[in-house]
Amino acid sequence: MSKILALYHNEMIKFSHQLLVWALIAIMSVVTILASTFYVKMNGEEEFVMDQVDKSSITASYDSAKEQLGDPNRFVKHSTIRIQTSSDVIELFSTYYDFGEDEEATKNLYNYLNMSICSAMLVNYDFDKYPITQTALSQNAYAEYTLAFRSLIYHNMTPFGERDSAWYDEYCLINQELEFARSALFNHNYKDYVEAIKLHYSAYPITDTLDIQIQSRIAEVDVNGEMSVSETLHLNEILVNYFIAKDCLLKGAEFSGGSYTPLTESRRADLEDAVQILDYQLAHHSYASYENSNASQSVMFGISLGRLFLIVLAIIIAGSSISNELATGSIKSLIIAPVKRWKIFVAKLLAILTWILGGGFLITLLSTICVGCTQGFSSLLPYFYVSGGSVKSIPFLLFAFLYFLASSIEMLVYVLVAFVISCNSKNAGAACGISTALIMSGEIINLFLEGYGRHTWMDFLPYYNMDITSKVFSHLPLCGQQTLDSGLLSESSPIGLSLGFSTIYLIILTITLLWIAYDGFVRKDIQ
Amino acid sequence: MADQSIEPALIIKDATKTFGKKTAVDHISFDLFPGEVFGFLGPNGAGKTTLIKMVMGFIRPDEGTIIINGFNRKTHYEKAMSSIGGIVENPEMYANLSARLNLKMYARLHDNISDERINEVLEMVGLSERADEAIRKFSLGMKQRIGLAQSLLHRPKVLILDEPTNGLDPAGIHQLRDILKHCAHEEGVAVMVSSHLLSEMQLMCDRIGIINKGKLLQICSIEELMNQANGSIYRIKTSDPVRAKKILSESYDHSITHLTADTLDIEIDESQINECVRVLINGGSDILGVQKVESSLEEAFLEITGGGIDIE
Repeated sequence: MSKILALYHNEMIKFSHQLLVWALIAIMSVVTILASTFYVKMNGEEEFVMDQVDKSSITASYDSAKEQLGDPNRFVKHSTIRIQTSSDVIELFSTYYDFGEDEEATKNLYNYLNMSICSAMLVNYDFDKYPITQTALSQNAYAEYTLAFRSLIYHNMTPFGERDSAWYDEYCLINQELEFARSALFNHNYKDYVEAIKLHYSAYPITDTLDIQIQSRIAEVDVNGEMSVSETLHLNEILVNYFIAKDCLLKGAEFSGGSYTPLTESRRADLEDAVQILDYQLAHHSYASYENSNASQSVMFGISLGRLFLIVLAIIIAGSSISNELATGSIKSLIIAPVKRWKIFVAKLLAILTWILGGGFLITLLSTICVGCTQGFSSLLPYFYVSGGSVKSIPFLLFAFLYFLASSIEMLVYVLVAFVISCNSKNAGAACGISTALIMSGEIINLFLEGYGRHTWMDFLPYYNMDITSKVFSHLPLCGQQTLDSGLLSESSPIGLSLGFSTIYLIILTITLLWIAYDGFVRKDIQ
Repeated sequence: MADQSIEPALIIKDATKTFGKKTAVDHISFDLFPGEVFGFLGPNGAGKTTLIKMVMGFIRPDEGTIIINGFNRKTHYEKAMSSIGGIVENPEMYANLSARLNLKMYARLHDNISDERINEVLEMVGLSERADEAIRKFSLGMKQRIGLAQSLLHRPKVLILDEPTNGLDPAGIHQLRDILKHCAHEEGVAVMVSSHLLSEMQLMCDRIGIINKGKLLQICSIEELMNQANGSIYRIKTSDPVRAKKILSESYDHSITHLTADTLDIEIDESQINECVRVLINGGSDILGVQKVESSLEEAFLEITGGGIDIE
């Protein structure tokens, strides 16, 4: 063992004295830093921007609506209503608006009414403290308040003669709704908003329970109504999937492609875990928000670009590690030394792995730090998973590194190919060239295969077994790694192969390649 | 010089290696003793380097046993190899690393080699001042020196050098010779040297093994090798060597080795020279001079290997 460590130490010294290695590490670092820092700017989704609502804009809108409408009293009509009681006839005067066929005037009147309502109801509203465009609650409650106010006004337009007990019940409901909406807006209480929309929906025969469920869940998270519009929209999106997932579990079937298909055992377990994680995240206020998602994807983008250079570095290191020594003859001082040849082989392999893993950790760390500094470290969510019935999490940095590893299997295989050639040839260029060519031809073949459609035999191709990220991390969408649409509800493994199959496949592939390398270096004579 | 009663430092038994149809090393057996410098001599392609590579662990023997310092190479590889040091073909190291770092890295693969020892061997080969330069800046001679330093670093019991004088200047060769002799005679190292420079061998080696076409033909001391040339050669100066040859052909036909315009070489025993001169004078030939010519290693060598030696 001590000999292997000594050999390993020497290998690390050799690599660390190569200028090319450091040059590539420098390029890799710079690319990672730039990519992770500017990902949001390059790729950032548009913020959801609403029109500014404040006192002056409402006043201005009210003034213009009034001007367009002209004198509202010119549409007022009077009529006499005759009510026949058991003993008497009562005559009442009624006032109502009559536009006739004038659509333009109708539109103007509605506009005028809306703006006068807004103007009236927001007299005492503190726009500076809770700007209506900034938080989702103020916007929703504002809309709901306006709606309820309008309903009340229209409700009151019902001529007296048509008012019955149903009218009165509804009148009470609208008043309640209005009261809740007002409280939600003025006191910034999300729960009151939920109460208001419950009352609102109760007036309709088909109640949209999903929306109420979602808004209730949001109310639990955002009690004081401080979340931004985009954040709430994101949470809304998560909750839509959450409740659909729950619904699927309840029904035991999934709606896809226009029909229900029964849940498979693994799919059910997957959905159950997802629901449990989401419950936990919502309870702990650590679900993947809009910001989390951006931050997490920035890190992964940095890693994926940095990795391009890491592949080059890894292939050069692996491809030259033995063949270069054979070509220059420096292998002699290793062969003469009192160390068995398999130990040299193992030490070299370990050293190559160290550089790859070290490089991987470097790009993970760099992009995490860059994103942490630009978008806040708190925006980097841990990865959640279910183990033994309870929700557990791993810190973001560790998760990002594991994610890097899981997504680098393909790279490791190509590096191993370079190492195999390196063990069997003095030609380092061939080792690097052939493995690079393999990467490219692999991509081209995949391109053709994708056009060919999916077939069962393709499951046995290396390509379909090399990306195990989604198989290892089945709940990536829950930490903002993918959009929910592509993750939580669609099949978590896009390829119908289990993690177990891919693992065994990769182990066999690795052992075969290692054996060829071992045979080439350890068992053959060195001329 | 080798004391045959002590345990050999290196035992090679029946070493055989075949490349395809060609047998590069054919059942070679010999022992190398502590304190001796053993010269390994053979024409190009005789199997010298293959044998050395076999001993040094580059090539697996098809057959045979190699025992270094009492350890069988097959069963106790690392123990056996820790007693061996040497250079195969040209000394090649990590060119972009300094000489000192190269030695440090090599030292790490052995047990207990101190930094002082590294300085010591650098001093020994005269590279102390340039030890921190990258190897790529070194000349071939300097590389030989650093290779030698590496070989000696761990105080090996067996030192094997493949054509060590390659690229060395005369002073370097002299120094190398001194170092090797010091190692063998003072420190008791068993030294094996291969070379095609016979004059080198003559100055350096105590024993010589001659190899050709994969077979070990003979092992002998320098003296024995020189004596093998059946007595001495006498060069007789005469005005008419052809006539002299005719006169001598009756009794010494097989002994005449060489003829020039005014000399005749004859290979005879010292006791016979008197008679030979008398025969010539009686036959009517004039004698301008008689001179004893030393028999050379080369001639002996040529005789043993049947020619084909590469003589510089």
